[in-house]
Amino acid sequence: MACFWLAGCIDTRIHFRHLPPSEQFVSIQPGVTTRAEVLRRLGPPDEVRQPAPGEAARRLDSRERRIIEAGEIFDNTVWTWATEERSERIVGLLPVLVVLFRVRNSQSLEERWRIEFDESGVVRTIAHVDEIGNE
Amino acid sequence: MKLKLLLCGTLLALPGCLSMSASASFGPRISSEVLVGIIPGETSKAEVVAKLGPPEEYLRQEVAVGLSDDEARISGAIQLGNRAHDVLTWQHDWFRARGRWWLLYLWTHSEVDSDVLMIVFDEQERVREISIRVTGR
Repeated sequence: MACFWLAGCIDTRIHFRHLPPSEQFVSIQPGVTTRAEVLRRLGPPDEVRQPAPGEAARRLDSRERRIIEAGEIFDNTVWTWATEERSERIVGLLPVLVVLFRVRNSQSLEERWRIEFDESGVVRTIAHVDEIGNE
Repeated sequence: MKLKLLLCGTLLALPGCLSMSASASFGPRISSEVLVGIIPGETSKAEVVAKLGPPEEYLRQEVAVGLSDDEARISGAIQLGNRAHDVLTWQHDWFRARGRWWLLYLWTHSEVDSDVLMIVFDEQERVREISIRVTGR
């Protein structure tokens, strides 16, 4: 009973937003839209973006400076745009002790748009994926 | 010191709740207005850098990591001499956090928005492509 009264809870949520509005993706037409148009409508893909603060801590290559060459982008046949939301709920004994005694539940939701180009630089496929992760 | 802070925080939380919020932004603000005067086929790389300031590729690592990590500092120095790249990016990250602490309940909510501007240069170091991504907020 005492443990029940001492139980504390931590509820955290962090949302990394990098996506342009989804209407802009819907306007992309396979077989018609070119790389240049995609760049103009959607902006640069995630391949050229630095990890944001907090996000960088989860990436192994976050300490690498991003030196980008045009070939690295334009020769790549697939570009992606992504956004992520993570939440974590921890229940433990007293808020200050939850690090030591706890039950944890983590969830993540990643929304990703993937555009593939053919050899002539025209959109071949466009795909939207929602990935839900649980820990 | 940490214990004092912890006790102080706990005492503050006892009568009711403690509410905090914070926001910070990193990097230059990015919008279509900053692109006025940058014309593909005409504007040079030097003019772009003079107008927009140093891009991400020139700035990263040198402050936080470079001070504490020899390896990063050395590789950064090598890359400084390797800046013939033809793509430059500018990024603005906007971080917001809110937190509430009731007696036995801590709630935090954070958001990080990233806006990116990418400019591609041709072999004559003139602007070839401009691409801007502003998060829908």
